[in-house]
Amino acid sequence: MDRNHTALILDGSLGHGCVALLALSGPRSGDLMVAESGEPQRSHLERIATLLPSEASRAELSAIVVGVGPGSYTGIRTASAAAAGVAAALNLPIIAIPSDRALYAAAKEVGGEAVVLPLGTREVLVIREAGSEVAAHADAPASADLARVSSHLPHAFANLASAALSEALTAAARGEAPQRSEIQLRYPSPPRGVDGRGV
Amino acid sequence: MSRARLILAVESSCDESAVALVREGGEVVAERVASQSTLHAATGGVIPEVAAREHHLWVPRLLKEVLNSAEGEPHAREIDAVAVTTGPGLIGSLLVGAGVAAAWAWGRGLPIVPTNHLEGHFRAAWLHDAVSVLATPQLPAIGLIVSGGHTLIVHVRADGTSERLGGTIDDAAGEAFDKIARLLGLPYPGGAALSALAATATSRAVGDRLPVARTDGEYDVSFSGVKTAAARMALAAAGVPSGAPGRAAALQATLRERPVPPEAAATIAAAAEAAIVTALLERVEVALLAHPGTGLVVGGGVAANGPLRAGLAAVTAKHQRLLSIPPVRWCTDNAAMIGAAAHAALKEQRVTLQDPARGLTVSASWPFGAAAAG
Ligand SMILES: [Zn+2]
Repeated sequence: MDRNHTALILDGSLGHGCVALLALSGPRSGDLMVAESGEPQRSHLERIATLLPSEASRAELSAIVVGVGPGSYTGIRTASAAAAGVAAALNLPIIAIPSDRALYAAAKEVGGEAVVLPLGTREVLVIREAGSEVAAHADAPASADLARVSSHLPHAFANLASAALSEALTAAARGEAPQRSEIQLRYPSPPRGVDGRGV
Repeated sequence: MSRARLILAVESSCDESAVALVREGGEVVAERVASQSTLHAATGGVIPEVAAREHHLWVPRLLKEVLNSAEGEPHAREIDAVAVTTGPGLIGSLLVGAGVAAAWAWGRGLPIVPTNHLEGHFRAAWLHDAVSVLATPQLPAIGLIVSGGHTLIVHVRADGTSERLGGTIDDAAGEAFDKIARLLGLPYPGGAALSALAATATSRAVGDRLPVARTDGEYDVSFSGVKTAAARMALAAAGVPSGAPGRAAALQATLRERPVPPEAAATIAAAAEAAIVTALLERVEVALLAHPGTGLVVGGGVAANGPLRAGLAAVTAKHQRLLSIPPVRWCTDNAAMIGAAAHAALKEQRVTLQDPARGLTVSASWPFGAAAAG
């Protein structure tokens, strides 16, 4: 009998963990079975909490969906590190999704036109339909409510990844080994040097 | 027959990414280290965001390399637990190693051991490879950990519990070496270059002139006085009119324009090295005398320093104590030492195996011997 398939969705663009399990087969196919997307501003930066679903059946995992930014520098890196670890342990394909596209889609769901993420104390990342840019705090437009964006985020990732997920499932059914590419993160800006300039 | 426990260890606390497979008893089955030092040479120091981005590239790569290597692959399915450095260190960098390690452990259904980087440096002396088994250090011991980020002296009891005796109250020994090296125009990280330059000095008498500041604690050291004195000597040698040295950046700009002549630079390097090494040796000797029967275990990148090694050998020989210094590759940051520290903490029942799904906390400052943060 065929086993059930699920995908693990991981993103840290909001600065905390967004974790979801998406059913890819069986009667609940397309449903989010476990979804946790923490409160924005309540940073989990010092804790790898909520990144690993305790209830998940590891054996059912067939793919990892990871948000590759742009977003919180530490957040996207931590979620991506977790994605790389699970993928390496279980030899799973990684599906990279731009976090800003998922955030924008989630904002649309809640009637917003832009998502404004704080990056440190002076700058923000402004995400709109046309793309994302770093702006000064004072120049930022009104943001969609981040708590509501956060709760819609797992669903947005599931939608954006659906085509790639069915491809991955088909490839797996044909017995093809997953592509083992490295995760390329999209940081909002280059790191700052000691002189405040990009390095 | 039960085989010895096998741990996969991950280290990413500062500027080295590293992964290793370590057997209980200290055998290093496989290991890989990627150093960022050439990258940080361009900026003259470690920039946390740059370091974290490099760890994100290298930790997953090294993990796969270790598990697929000729020496690691046959044992990849025997791994019993995953150890990862969760402090002290740079938060952004620690999170990368912790994220990869916890997630890999979760994927394999293995427990995780959050491990202290400083205890790693101490336990590096217990490491060996399959062909060379060195004399195993014994507890109780005095531990001297000297690196670019840390300088501390600890007393580790027979049961593995420990007390911090003292350490630097300002710069780490390696940091002092690097800062003085920069004054003399040597590239980052300058510790080894400073020591090489010092070896060429023709006059060593000048060593007496560099002060090591007095501290309240009998085991504490302060290196700010050496740094200031070296700066003053450098300015004088460069022919800069006298006056107190200004801020570090201004001082360096001045010395870039009027570099210290090579012969004087060698003399200053020798004086600075002698002052730093002497300060460490004095504190270590006090610690050994106050703790009869202890051996001396040394760790950290500065343990590669020639005069320090020679001095430690002399002090331990004088008091008939066992000296243990790991080979240089295990003095500098590596993952094998994290595996060794995790094995020790498990054996001494100072930690328990954790479920990675419960989460891991990383900590910028986690004292030697303290319990891991929740
Ligand atoms: Zn270290």
